[in-house]
Parts: sequence; C-alpha cells; structure tokens
Amino acid sequence: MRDSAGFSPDFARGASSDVRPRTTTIAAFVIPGAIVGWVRQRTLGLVVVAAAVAAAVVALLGRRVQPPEVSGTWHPATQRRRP
Amino acid sequence: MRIALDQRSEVGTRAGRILLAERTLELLGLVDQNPSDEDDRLVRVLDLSAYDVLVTDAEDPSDVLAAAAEAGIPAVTWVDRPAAGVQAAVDAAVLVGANLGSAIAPSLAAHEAAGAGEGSPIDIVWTEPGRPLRRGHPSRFPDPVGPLWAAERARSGVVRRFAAPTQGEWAGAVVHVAATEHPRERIVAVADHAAHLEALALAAGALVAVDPAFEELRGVITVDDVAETFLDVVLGLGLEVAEWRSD
Repeated sequence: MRDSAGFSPDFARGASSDVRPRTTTIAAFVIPGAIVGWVRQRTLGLVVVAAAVAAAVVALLGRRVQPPEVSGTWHPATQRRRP
Repeated sequence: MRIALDQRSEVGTRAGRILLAERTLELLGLVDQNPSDEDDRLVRVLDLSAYDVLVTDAEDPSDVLAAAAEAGIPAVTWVDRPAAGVQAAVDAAVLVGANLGSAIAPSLAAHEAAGAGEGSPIDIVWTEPGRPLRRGHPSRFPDPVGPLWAAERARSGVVRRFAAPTQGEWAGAVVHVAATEHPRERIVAVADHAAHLEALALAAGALVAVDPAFEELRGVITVDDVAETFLDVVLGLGLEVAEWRSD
C-alpha cells in the first residue's frame, strides 16, 4: 500500500520526524518531475513515430516501381534476320 | 569522303572520333573550330562546298543548315525536325533526327517488321533523359538500363512509339514485333552509354548521306526513308543488338 505521495507507509513508519518533511519535499519535486518526464518522453515518442511514418511515406512515394518481371534473358543477336 | 562537323556537344565530339576511325575518311572539317588533335585529316572548315556532307549536333541548326544549303551539300542533323524549319540545298537532302529514338530504334523496327508479316503490331521504345515513370507501358531494356515504364508518344497504324524517361548515363531502345507468322514474337534491343549511342546515330547518318543512293534524295528526309541502309551502316560502326529469348 502506498500513500498519496506514492511511497510505502513502511518507509515513513520507521523514519524520524526530521526525515518525513525531507521525504515530502523530495516527493513534491520527484512526482511533478516524473509527470513532466513522462509527458516529455511521450511527446518525444510521438515525434519519433511521426518522423518514422513520414520517412516511410516519402520512401514509398519515391520508390521506383518497376514493371513486372518477365522470364527470359537477353542474348547477342549474332544473326540478323533477312527479310 | 569529306565530312564537315558542326560540333556543339559531347555527341558531336564522340561522332567525330567515330568518323575518324573510318578508313575511307579523307577529311573531317570542324565548323568554326580549330582542331586540337594531331590528325592530318582533322582541319578547320574554310569552304563548306569542298565537303560531301555537313553533320551537326546543334539543337538549333538553322544557321549551319543555311550555310550547307548555300554550299549545295547535303546535311545531317542530330535533332528531329528543327523548330525553325529546314533549309535544304536545291539538289541535296537534309537527313533529320539522326539520334537514338528517331534513327536507331526505327531502323531496327523497319528491319524486324520486314520479316514479321503484314500488319504485325510493332512497339518501338527508347529511353530519354528524365524522371522514371511509375506506370505506363512496361518495357524491358538490356542491362544496364533494365526495366522501365514508358509513355506513348505516337501511333501510326500498327506501329506504336514510346519514350521511357530514365536518369543516368545509360540509354537504350527496344523493338517488339508481335509477328503474325512464326516466330510469334521477336524482341531486339540496344543499350549502351547514352552519348555513345547518340554519336553512333549521328556518325551513321553522315555515312548514309555520303552513300551514292542518298544523292538521289531531295528535301527533308528521315531515317524511315533510308532505314535498311542506316541499319547496315550503324551495325558496321559497332552497334551491338541484343535479342530477348523467353525461358
């Protein structure tokens, strides 16, 4: 079970009184920091995904679509057909 | 033979070197240029009338064609019918379009068509500089050109002409004849360095124009009028033709 700050009560229970405010202070900085980090990470992820999708679309559009394969090979035309 | 060369690009330079390899060449005159090579046959043109034919790779050859007409000699242009018109000498002809798409490809097609039977559908495809297409008429060129999509340029009866844009230094032409007789189809092609193929076509045009049979022709003509002669000449200059065989 965790308190509203996200820490285990067991951790607070054994702590001295001068420690609790410090823990709260740490939590007050860590949680918003974690949220901001998560948002930033998510934004970064979205940017990375969007860039990858854009690159794939560009590559697909620019790809040279070749005519279908036909079985056969080229050989030197050593003899000309006379009409 | 004496050939006057109006050289404006790499095509003309290469054509000149191909012509210099001909034993029958007496003189290769350069129009408005001093020769840099030490070849006794290479000179600057002083009098066009002293030459058998004028060859030009100019994109707008109107001025030099006028000079050839005034000198009374036949001419060969690399470009197709010039936009500014063609001025031919009264008793000489001007062969236009001595290039890959208008000369080598149709001469191959004319030869194949002659042996394919009446009314056989013929597709002529050649490459041209440009961004490759993503759809159109599927065409397969020999390596290093490879497969390309082509767009139809013209249709005349059973003959369809296509151009396949491609990037890079390689070029080619393919002729597909769906014969009504055996064998059912025949596909022949050429592929090589683009400037070399264009130069071969221009040089072959020059040699065709000094052929005695050419003297009978008048006005503006194309390779379609001298297809078999042109093919013989261009093959003699070293053009290699490939043939497609299905597995």
